[in-house]
Amino acid sequence: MPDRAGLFGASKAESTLLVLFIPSVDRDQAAIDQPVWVERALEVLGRLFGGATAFPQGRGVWRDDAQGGRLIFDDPVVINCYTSEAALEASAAELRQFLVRMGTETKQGAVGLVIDRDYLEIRFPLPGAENG
Amino acid sequence: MAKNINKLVALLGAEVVGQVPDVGGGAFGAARLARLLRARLEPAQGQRPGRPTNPTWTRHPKVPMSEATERALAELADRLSTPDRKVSPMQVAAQLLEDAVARYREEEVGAQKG
Repeated sequence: MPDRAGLFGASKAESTLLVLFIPSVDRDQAAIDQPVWVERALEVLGRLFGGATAFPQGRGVWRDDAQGGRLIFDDPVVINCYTSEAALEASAAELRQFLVRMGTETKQGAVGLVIDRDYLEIRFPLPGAENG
Repeated sequence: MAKNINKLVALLGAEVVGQVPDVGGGAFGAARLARLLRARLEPAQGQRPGRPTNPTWTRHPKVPMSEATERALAELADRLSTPDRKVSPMQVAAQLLEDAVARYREEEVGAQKG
């Protein structure tokens, strides 16, 4: 693999893409404070991985199989963060803490993320969590 | 794919739901592929107008593939098509192949230059 960082005199090169989806509604399709969660996500990703970029809202849908396949439509903000597998492993606990907090406080059915080509979900309620 | 995805999944307490197409750029890669295909496909002139195609695609070799890959290409073509511009599974395959070969040649040239 050519040394692209060296070619451009770059001091950093990361090759693992982490993508987060920041929702705009909760599981009942009620609006959440999305800008606040976008800022919180950027703060976490900036601190843990050195940087991230949030893109303007797209149009999204998620099928809530726990609610009989109900379609939840929203306008997510997608955040890209280039990092490394080693950094992800080292910071997985804190990243999970943020994702669980967002999913719980904004009443999500699941929080979605992409690592390279794999789409992952953390589903709610968490196993062993109490209702309400 | 991340080499240690299973470990990351366990650490995050998540589940892998599926994979996104390997078109580079992660989740935006699919959007990139869609733009590429719509920009490059032009309606054919003369003999069989109607289905847009890339005018530089003059060869039509048969390419072996698994049933799973054929299904994945069909799903991808469905997702990339719009009411105004239909994309076929083999057009998707052709574009992905051209991108992969171009990337390989860039890396090969880069490696040769040291």
